[in-house]
Amino acid sequence: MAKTKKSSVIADAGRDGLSAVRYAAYSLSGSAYVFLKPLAGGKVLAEFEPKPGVDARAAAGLPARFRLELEDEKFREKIAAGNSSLREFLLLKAVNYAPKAPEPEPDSGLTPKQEKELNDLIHQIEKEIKAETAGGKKDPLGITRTWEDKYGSNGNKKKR
Amino acid sequence: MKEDKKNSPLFFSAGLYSAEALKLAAAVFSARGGVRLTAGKGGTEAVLSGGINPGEFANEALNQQCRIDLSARNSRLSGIIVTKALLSASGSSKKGGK
Amino acid sequence: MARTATKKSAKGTAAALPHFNFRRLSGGAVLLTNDSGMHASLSGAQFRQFRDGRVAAGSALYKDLAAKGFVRDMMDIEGYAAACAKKNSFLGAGPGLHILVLTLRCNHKCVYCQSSAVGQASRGTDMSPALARKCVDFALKSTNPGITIEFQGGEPLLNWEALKASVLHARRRARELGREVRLALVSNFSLMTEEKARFLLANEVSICTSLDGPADLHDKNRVFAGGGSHAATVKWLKYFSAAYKKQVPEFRTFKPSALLTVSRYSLGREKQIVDEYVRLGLEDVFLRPLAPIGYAKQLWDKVGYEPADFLSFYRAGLDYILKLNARGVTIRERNAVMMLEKILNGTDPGYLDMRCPCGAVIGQLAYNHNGDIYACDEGRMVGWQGDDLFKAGNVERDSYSKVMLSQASRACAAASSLDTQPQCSRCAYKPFCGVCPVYNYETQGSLSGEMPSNGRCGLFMGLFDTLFSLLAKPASAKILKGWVSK
Repeated sequence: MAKTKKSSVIADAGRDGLSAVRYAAYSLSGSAYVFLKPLAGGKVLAEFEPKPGVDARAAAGLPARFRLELEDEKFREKIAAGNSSLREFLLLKAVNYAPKAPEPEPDSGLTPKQEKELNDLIHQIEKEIKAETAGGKKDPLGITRTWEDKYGSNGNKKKR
Repeated sequence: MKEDKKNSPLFFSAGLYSAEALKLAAAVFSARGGVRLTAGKGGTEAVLSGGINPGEFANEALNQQCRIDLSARNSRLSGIIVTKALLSASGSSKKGGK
Repeated sequence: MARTATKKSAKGTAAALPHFNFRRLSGGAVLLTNDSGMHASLSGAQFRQFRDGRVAAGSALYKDLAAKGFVRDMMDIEGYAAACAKKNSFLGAGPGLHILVLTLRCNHKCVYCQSSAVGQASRGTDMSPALARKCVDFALKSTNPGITIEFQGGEPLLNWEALKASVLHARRRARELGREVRLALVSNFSLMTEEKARFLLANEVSICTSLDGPADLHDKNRVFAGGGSHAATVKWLKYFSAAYKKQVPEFRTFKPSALLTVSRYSLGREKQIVDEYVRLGLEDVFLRPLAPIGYAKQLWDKVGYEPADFLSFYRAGLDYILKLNARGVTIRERNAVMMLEKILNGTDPGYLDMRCPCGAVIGQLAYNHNGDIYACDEGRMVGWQGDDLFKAGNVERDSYSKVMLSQASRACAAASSLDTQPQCSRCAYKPFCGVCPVYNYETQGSLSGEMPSNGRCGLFMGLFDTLFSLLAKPASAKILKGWVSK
């Protein structure tokens, strides 16, 4: 069985940040066994041993992937540092989000009691109109009928 | 448990792997074999037994370390979201759900 | 929409950019996403401009990025929060899916069985009708206004008495409480009869079965001692489809559905599988990968495969489905539909496996035949193998709130929070994805897992890569958008 070829990269944790170096190394742990060792001057040796099944080309590409990921991670850390408060504000707002209540109806200037009385009166009139128009009379509101016709008991109804 | 003779002990530098990360990694591997951690000068020595792959253990140690690094940044926000989910499900934040 | 100005920041520096994640795609493109689920695909050059704060204000790219929340100084705070809230609306409700495992007995021996099924003659593995009613009552305690009770097994028709009792009880209680309750049956149909079918239809139970493809493939995957699993499945699928088309005024009839589990035998046969679904008039095919959980874990060397193998199968299958769509055939792929709901509509499709936190306990509950409650059906399978890590309580002993706040619930919720996952928190697919603590535990030994080498993560990334690649092409994008258009 061919021996898997180890590779390594020296990263400057002092310049690039230790957590960025750690994450860049970690990102390769799907393809390789990764081990970090300290070097003098704040530097870190990141060793990669390709996992079984990783082809030679992919194995050879590990150091370059590490370097690219390290640059990307440094960029991510800058973004995160510059946005932590805003992001927290936004997500807290989302967690507690409630849709805005619909606009209230315009105020008619009446008190609730007055509004009720008005609605009851309108309702009564509508009922009367319905009753009057039943049978298709020509004068549904009884406008042309006299008071006596409507309310009198003599039975002297003048025909029109 | 017999220690694997072919695996020499691994040394994890304290500056790169915290003791907590190594303990968490050892817990993950506890079902697969044995991990003996010994604090030493400048770091921790890990002796593996039961056929644990040293590469896999090193990867898990780095995984746990990266989780620790991240929690310093995100644990508060994550905690709020998880708490919200649990309380909503349990009904603790509103009526019902007894 | 009200725009709340964010503090002016220096242009040309990273501090001028809002929070976002990015992924370098093949071909040099870079995908951006943010917490609200907005996404933008940039060329390599555009990404460099964006990264360096050099996108010209007023340019088309600038306007597009601003509208999607990628320009910090132009961020619509209210809209962003609303989009986040909409995407995560499930955070405000309790478990919507309640799986009642009416029996562990089954008359099939499917090669990939994960349901811990036992033989038909087994004793002590049926849920009693009384216990089934208690499970229904427990489910109705959920803080979710609408719940689904799904009857599973083993083969649930082997415990017809409990099934009938719980259906009738659920319908009665739903009426009394004024609750929305959907009922669903997952069955292999081998024991279906006209009488049972009429009962299920009359009580508005929606029907789901397994259909793994053409007869030889289906029967190879789903071994039935009586022979002809595929024949029974097809017979009753046609029956329920006909009932759906007829529709009667007395009750609603739902379209029957089918699920597919991709085994090693399925690989390379994607076209035949899709054709079988089309032949039977099914409009959705769910190309579900097999997970090494439960019994399937023990048989993995026989029936399992690598994520890359599944992805090849999936891409070929999806490609074929898109070709059929272009010819006017109605057929959608379910993984894609659910992911596209999130990507294009910003809504939660109710796919509990892909949420943050995941649906364990707080999104779904699995009630075992003996009343034990598990975080999910996969967690129940782990329990059957002697490890009760995912057990949240018992219907007869524990209150609803105790189950919701159980150790299993809290542990799964914490472990599946993507903001605590080193890889996920940085991933461009984070707004649309989720991890599975059960999968992580079974394959990697911890609830949180290790994503760079996690098979499920690799598989999901591949699915997302596939979809975003198709969305970048006008012809396929048109079809995919049509699948989720309102």
